[in-house]
Amino acid sequence: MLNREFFQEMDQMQREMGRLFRGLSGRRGFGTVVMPGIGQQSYPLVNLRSDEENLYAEARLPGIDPSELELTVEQNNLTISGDRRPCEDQPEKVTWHRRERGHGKFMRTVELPLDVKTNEARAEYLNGLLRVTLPKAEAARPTRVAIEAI
Amino acid sequence: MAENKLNIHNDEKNKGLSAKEIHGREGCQRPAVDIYETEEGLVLLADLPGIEKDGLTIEVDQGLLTIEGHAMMRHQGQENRDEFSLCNFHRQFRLPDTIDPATSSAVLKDGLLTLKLPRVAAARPRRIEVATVH
Repeated sequence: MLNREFFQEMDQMQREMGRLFRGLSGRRGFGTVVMPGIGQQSYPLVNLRSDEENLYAEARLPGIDPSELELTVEQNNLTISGDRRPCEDQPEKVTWHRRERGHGKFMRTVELPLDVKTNEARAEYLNGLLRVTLPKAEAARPTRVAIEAI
Repeated sequence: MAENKLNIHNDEKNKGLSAKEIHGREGCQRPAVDIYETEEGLVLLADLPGIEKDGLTIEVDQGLLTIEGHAMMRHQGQENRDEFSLCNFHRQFRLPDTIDPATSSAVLKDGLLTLKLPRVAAARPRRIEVATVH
């Protein structure tokens, strides 16, 4: 039976495929990494958001030791790299039923759409999300222009 | 030992569930999981980015394990280019009868859920010492 959920699933699949091919074409080749278990896709996923003052980058990075994360801002490029390790207290000999999460080293560079004050950038890691706050450079902030009535 | 093997069934394979449960709830994502078996029982690791302790419910009802995460964190600023959303999570598994839900324990740290599901004591492998009689 074709129902709404079926179409939603197809739509999701199409988007996933689109993302995969974008990575292959080299347009966003830098961000594409191969993660065992996850396959070839951009990892981590990054949202770029902004308000008047700041640019925000949010990365989805569950279950990572924050001390393993490295974050650099160079000109207009934000680079997130790190290592997602398998669980430490896991015994050596186990029987696997599912292995979907994947682990390994990763690196992703995201181009920022505008100039930021790199020395005032700050980041926090909370509930598996990395949130980076990048204050916009003065030139990139919106400035109100007074209109004179003549 | 062969009889002691645990089997975890995924939601999709269980015909007893409604279509809604099989495809997951609307607006919910299925979290990626690792499940492994040790002598003590099963350990389930689930990626739940953006989920806080208060937004997470784990239930076992008649052998059906439900993990449900309600996202309470909010995005900052206005959207420029989004690759993911802070969504809710939902996934179900059918647990084997040899799991004792009463003794299971869960820890949520940095968006990673570690759920330990021990076997009932009677189902654990036990070595029987052989005494020699002279």
